[in-house]
Amino acid sequence: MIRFVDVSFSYGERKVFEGINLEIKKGEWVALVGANGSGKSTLVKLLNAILIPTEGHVLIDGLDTRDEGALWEIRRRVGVVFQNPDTQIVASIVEDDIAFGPENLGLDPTEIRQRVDKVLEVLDLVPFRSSPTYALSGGQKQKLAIAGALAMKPEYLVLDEPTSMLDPPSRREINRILNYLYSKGDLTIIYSTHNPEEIVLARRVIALVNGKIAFDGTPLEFFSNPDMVWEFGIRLPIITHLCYRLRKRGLALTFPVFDPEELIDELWRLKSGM
Amino acid sequence: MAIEVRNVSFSYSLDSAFETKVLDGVSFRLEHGENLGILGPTGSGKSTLIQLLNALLIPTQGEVLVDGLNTKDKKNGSKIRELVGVVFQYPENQFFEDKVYDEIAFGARNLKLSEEKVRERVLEAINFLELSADILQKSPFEISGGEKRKVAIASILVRKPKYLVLDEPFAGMDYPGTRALLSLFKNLKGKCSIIVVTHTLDELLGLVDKLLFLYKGRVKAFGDLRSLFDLDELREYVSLIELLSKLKKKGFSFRKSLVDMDSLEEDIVWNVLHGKV
Repeated sequence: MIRFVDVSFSYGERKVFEGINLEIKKGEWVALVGANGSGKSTLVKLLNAILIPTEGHVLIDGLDTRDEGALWEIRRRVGVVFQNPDTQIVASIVEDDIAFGPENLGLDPTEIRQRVDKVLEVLDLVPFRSSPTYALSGGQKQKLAIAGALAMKPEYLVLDEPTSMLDPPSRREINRILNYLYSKGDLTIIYSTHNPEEIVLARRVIALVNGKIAFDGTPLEFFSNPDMVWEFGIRLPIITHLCYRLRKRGLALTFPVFDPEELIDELWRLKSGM
Repeated sequence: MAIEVRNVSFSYSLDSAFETKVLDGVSFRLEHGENLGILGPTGSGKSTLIQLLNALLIPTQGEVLVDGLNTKDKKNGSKIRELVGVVFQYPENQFFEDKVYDEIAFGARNLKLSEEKVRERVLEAINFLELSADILQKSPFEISGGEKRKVAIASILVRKPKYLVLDEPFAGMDYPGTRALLSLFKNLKGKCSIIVVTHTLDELLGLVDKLLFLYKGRVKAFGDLRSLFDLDELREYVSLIELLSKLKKKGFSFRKSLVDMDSLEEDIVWNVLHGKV
């Protein structure tokens, strides 16, 4: 479990968080949302001890990020993937890049080999194993960053706007992979995103406003309140937005709806007067 | 007055073992006053194409003409860069001045304008972008993400380009930030042609007139926005198009082609109200 206990954080004079309390249990999939500057990235960095709280404690399975002796274990448990795929690659060949983390753990070579093979397979990167990393596309680089994090066998996979620089097909591919990893049941996923279609994929939404938790609930609860969603700086999923507007025009539609097929069925029913 | 791209190919590391062809026989013509959206997956050549438009790169084959000036001709370089302003992806990563004022003024100073004229243009640009004047004395590194993006755009607008190229202008921006920028871009209509490189077209419907779809370095489609809506490849990029085509299959009829969510809403309401026998 991840626990934030009365966590405050400031960059010099600028206060980002004040007295945050939060629990994320194993097996959750959390979407962290909020406007630019709301503290999402800071929260992500507090999770694996890149930043240490100014006050309070961040506990990862009971390990305090203030405890320097626990640093390696915390970073193994919490794998982090950042926004820009270009800044996370350390090696020039794909499989070397994945092996970099496990090598630093001092694992024996057979174990490293097994882990690299496994994550290459999971992320559909097998054909690229000997490719130079610079030759990968943006989407492939981001998959490589996720592969590198997974090779550490983390308990928690934390992704900071992992798809914001990717095109829709690559974005869909990353989301498909996260869905697959999550469905296997042994990974906790925490990602920050502005993308409403991605918020819908998560099981829990936490919204930050000016460094405070302003909402904590399911995606369905979240999007049931469009005025609040807009206030948080997030748009509705396109389909949900259209549904909202059609309701305003007097059409008796269920709200919120995420699935286009569902909206189409309801519209067809209305049209045919059933 | 137009940008003409004539049968352009481009290869990086030409004549070496690493030669990679990223554009292959690309042609299109954009009249001044029209707005263009450039779509395509990562690696399709979008970023290379925009660098060819302002003579940062020169075609390996074919030619690019900006208002008749050929980018191949070195003496046209500075004139072309005055005509075509490019705001690159995550432009705030390229800030280097101590003050926002100097950051914005930099582009105008390069045009060798008097300092008075430069000041005028800086004020005009921040006014247009709805930034307050007290931001000018701040460091560009201490302002918010949305403000940074606007400052970066202002630093190009001060050069008064006839063609404004925006590479993924909404990347990493939240919804209000995106909406604000979008409505500002709409206000530019008539003043300059906008060329937007994007992954997501949904929000741009209503801003762009024409669309260029690049795929593996080739033009998969180019033309009037509405004429391209039946293209399968586009559906991935525009979820509204996908919805529209599914509704058509269900017997919904649409009075006009989809231009944005407003017209889709109108037509659906119309279908439901008039669809009952």
